[in-house]
Amino acid sequence: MIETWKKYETIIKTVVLFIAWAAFYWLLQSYSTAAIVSLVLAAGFVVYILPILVAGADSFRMFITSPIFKRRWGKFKTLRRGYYAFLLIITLFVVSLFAEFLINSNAIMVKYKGEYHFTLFKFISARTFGMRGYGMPNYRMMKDMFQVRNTERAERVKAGTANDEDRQYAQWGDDWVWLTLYPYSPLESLLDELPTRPPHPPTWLTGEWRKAYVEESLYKLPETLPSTEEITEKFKRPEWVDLEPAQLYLKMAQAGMLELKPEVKQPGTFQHILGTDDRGRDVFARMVYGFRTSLSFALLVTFFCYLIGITIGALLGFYGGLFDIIMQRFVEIWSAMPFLYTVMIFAAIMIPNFWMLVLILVIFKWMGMTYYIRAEFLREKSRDYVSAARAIGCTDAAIIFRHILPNSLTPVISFAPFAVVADIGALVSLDFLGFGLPAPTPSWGELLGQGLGNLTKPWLILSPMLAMFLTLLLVSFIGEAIREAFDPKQYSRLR
Amino acid sequence: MYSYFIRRFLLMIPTFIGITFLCFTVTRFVPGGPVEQAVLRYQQAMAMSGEGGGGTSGSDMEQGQISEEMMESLKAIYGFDKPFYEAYAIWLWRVLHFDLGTSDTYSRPVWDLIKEKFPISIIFGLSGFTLSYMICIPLGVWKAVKHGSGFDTGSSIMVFIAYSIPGWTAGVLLLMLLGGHAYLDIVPSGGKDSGFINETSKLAMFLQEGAQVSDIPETIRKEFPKLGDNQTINASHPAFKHVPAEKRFKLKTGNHSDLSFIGRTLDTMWHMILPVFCYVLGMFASSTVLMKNSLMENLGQDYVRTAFAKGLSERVVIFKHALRNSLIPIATGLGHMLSIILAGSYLIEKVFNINGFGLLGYDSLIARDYPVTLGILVIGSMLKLFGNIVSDFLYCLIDPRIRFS
Repeated sequence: MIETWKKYETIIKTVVLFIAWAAFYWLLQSYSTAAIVSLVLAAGFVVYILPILVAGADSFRMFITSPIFKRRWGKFKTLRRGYYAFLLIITLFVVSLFAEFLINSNAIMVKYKGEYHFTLFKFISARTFGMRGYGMPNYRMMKDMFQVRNTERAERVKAGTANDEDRQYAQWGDDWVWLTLYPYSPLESLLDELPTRPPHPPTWLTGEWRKAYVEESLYKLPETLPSTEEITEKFKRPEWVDLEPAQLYLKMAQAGMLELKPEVKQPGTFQHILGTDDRGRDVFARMVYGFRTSLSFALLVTFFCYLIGITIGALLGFYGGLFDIIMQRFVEIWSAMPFLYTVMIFAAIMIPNFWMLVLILVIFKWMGMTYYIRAEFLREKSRDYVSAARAIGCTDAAIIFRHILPNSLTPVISFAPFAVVADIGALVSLDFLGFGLPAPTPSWGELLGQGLGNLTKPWLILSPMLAMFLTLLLVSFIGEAIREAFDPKQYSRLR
Repeated sequence: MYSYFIRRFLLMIPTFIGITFLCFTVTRFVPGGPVEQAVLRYQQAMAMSGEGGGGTSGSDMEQGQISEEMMESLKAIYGFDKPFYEAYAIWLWRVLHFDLGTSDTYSRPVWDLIKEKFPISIIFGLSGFTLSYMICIPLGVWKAVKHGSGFDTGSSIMVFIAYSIPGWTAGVLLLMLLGGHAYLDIVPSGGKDSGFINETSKLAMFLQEGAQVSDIPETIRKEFPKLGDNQTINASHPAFKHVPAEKRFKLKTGNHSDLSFIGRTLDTMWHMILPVFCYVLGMFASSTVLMKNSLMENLGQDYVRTAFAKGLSERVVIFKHALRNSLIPIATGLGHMLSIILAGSYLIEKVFNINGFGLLGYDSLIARDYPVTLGILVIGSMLKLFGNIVSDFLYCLIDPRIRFS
């Protein structure tokens, strides 16, 4: 890797310079001198940061290709629980990265009048497809509409009353809509489509729905109250005789004896498998997108925390001296902050987006890894191989990146899963308190907060709790297995 | 060693200044602060009164505007008229004199607010902390002694489950299941004590005797001018003993303070069940594993081998030799007790609507009540800094081998 880098250094640097320039320019748009400032920043990045990143990545490569890592990894693979949890989490995360293709109110593809439209990431006005309005079309309704039109057309053709358009359709073929697997978006409010008020219960919970229909008086009630004989003879429920009318109708609805008004469109049994939240958004879709957000957030925070922690820890351990003393005091001061409340203050005041929240957490969380890496460096520095490297004239950078760092990355691997658990927990807590990601972002914590406000709606609490519980459980299984494989503690048993 | 602790104390000063300066600066430079909110409130009030008075639209526009001098005085009220470093110096000077300023929303000294709320959080948190140690230490010891047995594996599953459920989320679930909303009605739905008790309440039998205010003899009545005629007093009121015995009756409704001592205790405990459970759940996994690993490590040491070799029984070796040494990391954790409790309180008090320190911090952030926010930060960081020193000190005290220098 480092050889490839040396060979193409100039080319890579130039390419990265332009990319970084563009990126910084995009970030700094609000300044008038954005072009110059971003060029300076990009140049600084390319000259100072990029080589370090490449060298760091190279030491990580050396770390994971070393025989000892391979042996430990083999050990990890034999720990079934952790290994399968690892595979499962990776699979779920990769699948969730493509969630837009699976869970989306936008259709993947539409065929209309012989033309194919790719609608997944593109805004196409509803009018384009012969619907009313200029906004986003509702593709689920469109699918039904196309089906109705197709059958009507087929009937017209059969009856011999086909018009011009119908004859053209003989060439074009029928219209169709290719919906995603679960055609609801996490941000889409379904208030217009579902009959009762949100939060809607899971659609397979018939009892809850019937209760909601009664509350909204969507049942066709019989003209007269059922008489006593009717209740005992026809319904065979003598215990209902003395009930108030409202109670009686509720019981009858629960037992499925009432019919809905004709205009009520009942949702299908598995239409919203986890119900909807208090704004009528599908909970399952929000769960899945929330999983992606939580896990990517946790991985990013862990990654950046470790990047900073490793850099600073390495410098402290390798150079020592006054720099070490001063920096250690600083780390000590920084870690004395009350973490949660400080992050709450920053998040409450700044109202951050995803990346800013990552940044805030990284700023207050990077210290953990420095201690371990510093200790590793202090230990490795006094080993013979380092003296040997120094004797043959290696530079400090070479000693750090090629010799010591690959040998001191074990704590990084063995602490990472637990850091991910902590970060997911932190994000959920912040979202729950309302200081996390901005409002419509799907997140578990926000849903839990809704659940606390609607304690009679168990699906709002159980869904995020189960999702979080399973995720954290899997990640901690991984962590336990990794710890056992990489950092084994041999306890001697005496009896 | 004393020099070490003196240095640690001295190090607290820059730490404290660093933390507070950072947060103070942030509260200064971000829009939406107290001055903007006051202006907004004023404009809303003006718009409302304008509508009510039916004034013309032109004058409404002018009414909504705020004059320069008004803006200046507003800034002066909230201390925003000086540059931030000057304001920070003034604030710090006041803090050093135990004056944390006045809350914008409560119009009371922040120090009083904190003094009022802090004990509530401590009662809840400390009970949870004590209980978790009482559960986790024996469990950890037993797990270490029975390492590899069925009991160890079984309790490890429990530890995994507890680790994967943040304490406060379990609180939300249990509140739903047991709080009388959808399923069972076993525990109260929140708060630190019952606000209203009537005949159907579970604690109604513990209501004290009471008396109508009008039945208090005139001479005594004058001493308590605040009492209205329709009010009732309970037996703890100083005027109660002057009420003739035949006029006394058992109260039918009331609140927490109308309960007898046993009733009050039961009421508080009843409200503490779930929050304390959440605190315990939050600490359960880490404490148990820490205890187990610490004892396991000691059991592998040479001195344990020696103790076995000289023929001591397993009981004596484990409980007299190994356990005492393995309690060191647990004991030093006591130093961080208060900071752990406070960190949990922000979430748990929000879930259970307990009007304590954590909820005060949350509410102050929502209301942008910066004096309270900074006051809470001051207390929180001071406790954390002291906690660090206390745990170092405990470390020295327990383990004579440790010498900081």
